[in-house]
Amino acid sequence: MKLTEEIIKSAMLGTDKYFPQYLSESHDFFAKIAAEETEKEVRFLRLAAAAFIYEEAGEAGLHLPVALPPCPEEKRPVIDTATTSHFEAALQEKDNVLLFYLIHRCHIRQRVVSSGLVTRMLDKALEHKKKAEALIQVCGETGAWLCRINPRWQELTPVPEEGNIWETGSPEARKTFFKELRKANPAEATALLSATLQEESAAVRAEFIAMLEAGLSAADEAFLTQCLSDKSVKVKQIALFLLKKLPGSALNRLYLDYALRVITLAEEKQFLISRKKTLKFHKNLPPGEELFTSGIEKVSNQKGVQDAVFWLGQTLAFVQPSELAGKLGCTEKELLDLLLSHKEHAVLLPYLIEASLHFRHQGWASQLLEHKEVQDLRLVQLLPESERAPYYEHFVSTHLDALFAILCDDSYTPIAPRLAKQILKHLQKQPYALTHQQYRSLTLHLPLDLLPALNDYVREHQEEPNYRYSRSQYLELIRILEFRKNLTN
Amino acid sequence: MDRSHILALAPDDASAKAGAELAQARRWVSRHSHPKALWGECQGSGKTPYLTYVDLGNTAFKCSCPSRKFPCKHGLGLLLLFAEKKNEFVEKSSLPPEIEAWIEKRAATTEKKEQKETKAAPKAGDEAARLKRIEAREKKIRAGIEELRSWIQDVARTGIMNVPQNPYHFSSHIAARMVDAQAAGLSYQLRKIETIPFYQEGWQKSLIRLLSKIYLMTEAYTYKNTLGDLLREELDTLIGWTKSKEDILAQEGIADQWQILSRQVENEDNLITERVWLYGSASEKHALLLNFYAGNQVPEAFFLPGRSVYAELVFYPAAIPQRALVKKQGVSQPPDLPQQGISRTGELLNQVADVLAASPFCEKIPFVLSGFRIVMDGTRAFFLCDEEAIALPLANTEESCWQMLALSKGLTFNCFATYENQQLRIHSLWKEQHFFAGL
Repeated sequence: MKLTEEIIKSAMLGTDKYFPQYLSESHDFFAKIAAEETEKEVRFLRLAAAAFIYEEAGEAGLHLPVALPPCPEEKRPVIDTATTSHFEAALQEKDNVLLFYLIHRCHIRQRVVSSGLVTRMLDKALEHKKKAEALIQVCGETGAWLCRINPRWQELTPVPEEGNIWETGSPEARKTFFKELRKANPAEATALLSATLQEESAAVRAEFIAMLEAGLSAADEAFLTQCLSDKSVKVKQIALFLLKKLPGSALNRLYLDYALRVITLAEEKQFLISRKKTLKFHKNLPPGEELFTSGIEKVSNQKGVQDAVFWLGQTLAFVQPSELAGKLGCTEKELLDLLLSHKEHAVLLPYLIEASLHFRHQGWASQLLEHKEVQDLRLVQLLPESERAPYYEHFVSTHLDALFAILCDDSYTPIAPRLAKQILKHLQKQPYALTHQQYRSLTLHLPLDLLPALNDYVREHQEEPNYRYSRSQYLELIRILEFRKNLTN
Repeated sequence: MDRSHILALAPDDASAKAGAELAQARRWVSRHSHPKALWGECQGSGKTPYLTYVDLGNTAFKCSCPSRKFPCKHGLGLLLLFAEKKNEFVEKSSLPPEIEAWIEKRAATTEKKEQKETKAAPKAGDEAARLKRIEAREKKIRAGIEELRSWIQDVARTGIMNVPQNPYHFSSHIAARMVDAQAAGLSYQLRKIETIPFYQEGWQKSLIRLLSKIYLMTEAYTYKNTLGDLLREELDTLIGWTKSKEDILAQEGIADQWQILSRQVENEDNLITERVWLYGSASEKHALLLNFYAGNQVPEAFFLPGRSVYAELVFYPAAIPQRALVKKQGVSQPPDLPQQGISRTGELLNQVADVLAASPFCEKIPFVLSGFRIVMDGTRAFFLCDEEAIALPLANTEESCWQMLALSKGLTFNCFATYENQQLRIHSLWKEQHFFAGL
């Protein structure tokens, strides 16, 4: 036993109970102290002081022939000092809005962060699992290397699961696997799900069946029909919904047939020469029991709305516009015009919106958006990106929160200048419509050429009631816009 | 100076954030620069803008704002703006009279203080009273030491097994008694018991090691007349005797280009303790500047790690001189970091043995190391290892060790470290001229 260990043992028990032994095996010096004619506590403390210094002075270090795996060379260039400072500031101030923007820029410019930032970025990835991939990528080879050697960060870069992911993978891995399979080979995905469906819990069954919406085709009908007999109500509802919107499915055909039975396209003479098309609804034709069991409500839940019109509306939500128009002998545009000019159009409008959304019908979406009674941002999302901005303008004053969520996404696409100006104009009147964080996020999506307009505002509108609050928000907008303008990489 | 250097000067996070927000040209009504200083007017909430000055030579601040923080957000903002956008400043060839007067006054005050501190000598009449005071204090200290020795002996007799159950009360009373006995140094040593991690295995060794060391100090003090002059002076300081700055500064100093390798600031009970480690390029000596600020006291000048300063330093007398005072100081300059240091663990430990032989009470032994790398053992503990695979455990936190691994990428690097309690604590590391502090 080492002398210091003896001393610790004695210290723990007290010198009354135990005094260090084996002193003769140590240096003479210790034996001399032990032999002194003083109280044993004094001898013990002298021994302890000498032994610890003796041990320390004779320290030789530890032979540790271990090496860490080498960190690979960085393949991408590292950000410059100025950008590193911005990252430092964002991390220090816990400014995630700015941090994620900087990360986005790094991705676009194919840069990695300097090594001094890497550990904090990996810790951030643990906090923000959804952003983890982006955070790890921007940490480059150093980040990946640290993830391999630090167990705490290992979960950020899961090793591809060995064996059958579908059978043994984690829930997230299974979802990713199924999504990819559905994308690459939809039929194989359906077959796989069909084979193992009953082994899953109701919630998982519902989740995977809902994933069939991507690439939904006639080949899925048999499986979805089979799902209608599932024990879970949620599973049944999802399967039913998919069958209703699957063009050509037996259920979808029932909806179409019913719509065709009720709606007639007639042509009437107008001013002797011209002919005008009109729609007529046959209100004495109730849907069959099958339609009611598929979810059509029997009794109108709206005051003053006839049951027959209510049934038709619910049916139209699941009828493909092109198919219905074709069968009626008109164009899709004509059909919607006729429906919107019908005296019952107010009842039908929500269902027509649903139909546009279910069948992603761009034509109907833009036509509906022109209608003065329609205010639905989801329809704008159906349009090509280049066409959306003018429609968004209608939602600035009424649905700014929802619009904000759409415009301020992770791609940092600049908001169209006209729309941006309109948003700022609205914020002048309603400065509390957005939170401070939303203001900051908005700035990262504003076009840089708005700077002069913002500067003008800060200088000019001093008499406005909310000027003081607006000014501080605007100054923040200006600061971030200038910051963006001056970013080097 | 870069952003991180400047933000390190902020008294707290809120000031750093506010300073960063003021680092934009529009917040400043005017911005001027001169090689010696910066000055600008910042529009606050009042009618009159605040006038802010920054002395670039010794990194000092002055502002007309009412903030009690130092430096205030305006000073930080102006310096940040200058560091990031020099072109936003109007260059001036001469300083405005009030700023020139401020800089001159600061220089004059420093000089006057230096002279005062250097020349001050006790009056003849005071000497007798002083000696009487010393005698009375010595008596008190000796009585206190006797009390402490009895207490430690009692602990040794009864054992330390139950200490973790109430570690604070274990030593708080005796530590307070040492304050009463005017042996503040011993009280400081006793308070270290509270910092021992009693929840971790190994506390037994730390505790008995510390107690036996304190006991050794009391033994040495009892027989101090048998010690060499320098060790005796070091022991006096450790027990709690203070030396007047005037006496220290009256000695001849070492003029050198001092590299600022580390700055640590601790705030405890409204007392800020600042430790700045310097390394002389020519003298190859380490120096520790130890400053204390109570309440709203502010530092006269800042020592920014990663910079260097030409200065004359005077060391406190000790067997191993470390603590120093600044006698004369030039302007802050870019660093010239040492690229060669001790490169073998064996050599480092030999020096440790030499230091302990000269002064067994030395707590922190500073080293500039080169060619070391960080490794982990099977238990994932971190070590600093030389090329011959001889390693010493690291005292840095786990977070700091990972940060150093990221910076070094597992390769060798140069660093400044202190040896303490059979471990190494890395304060800063550098590769060529890329310097990283605050580890």
